[in-house]
Amino acid sequence: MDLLRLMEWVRGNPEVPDEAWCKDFGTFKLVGHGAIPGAFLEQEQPCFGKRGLK
Amino acid sequence: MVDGRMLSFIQFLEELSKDYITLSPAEVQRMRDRFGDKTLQMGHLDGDGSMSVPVNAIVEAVRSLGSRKLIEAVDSLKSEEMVSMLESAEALVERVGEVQKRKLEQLVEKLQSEPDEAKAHQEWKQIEKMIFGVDYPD
Repeated sequence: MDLLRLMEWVRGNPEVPDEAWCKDFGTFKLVGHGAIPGAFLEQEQPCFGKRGLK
Repeated sequence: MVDGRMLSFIQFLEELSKDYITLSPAEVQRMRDRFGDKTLQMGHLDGDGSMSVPVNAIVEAVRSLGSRKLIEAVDSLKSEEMVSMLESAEALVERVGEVQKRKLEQLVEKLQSEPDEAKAHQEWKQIEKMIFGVDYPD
């Protein structure tokens, strides 16, 4: 389940840039700015901000 | 949580009555050094490096481990030297994380079958708290 992947990612203390970012979890995407997660996007919505976060 | 001190019955009940136990930054680091990043799946890191771990997940993990392995795990966590018992402690750390993954799956299933919008919203807030470790305003 992709929400499990999200929980594991959040708990793994990920490094996020101090700017807008986007992380793809498969069935949805999470966008944020710095340490603050902003919104969930649907799979087909385009990402904005820095991508390729570990 | 205990730092080698013996808890009184009342202190023990107080610890159990909390929603979360806070591990100190030093304790979190020590466990990460021993068990790796699976330690992080036990809870949420706070800004100061401490970690909040749900008490109910600890209780469920402890119950599932069985008393002999639990004693080994506790001995291992108390000592730096009991390498042979490390496996039990590692199993405990893993299970605390696994319990929460299972709870997240149950919450999502409940949300998906909830016909009432207000109740579904409350269930989503629980999911959000479990994932991000904080209550976000609506």
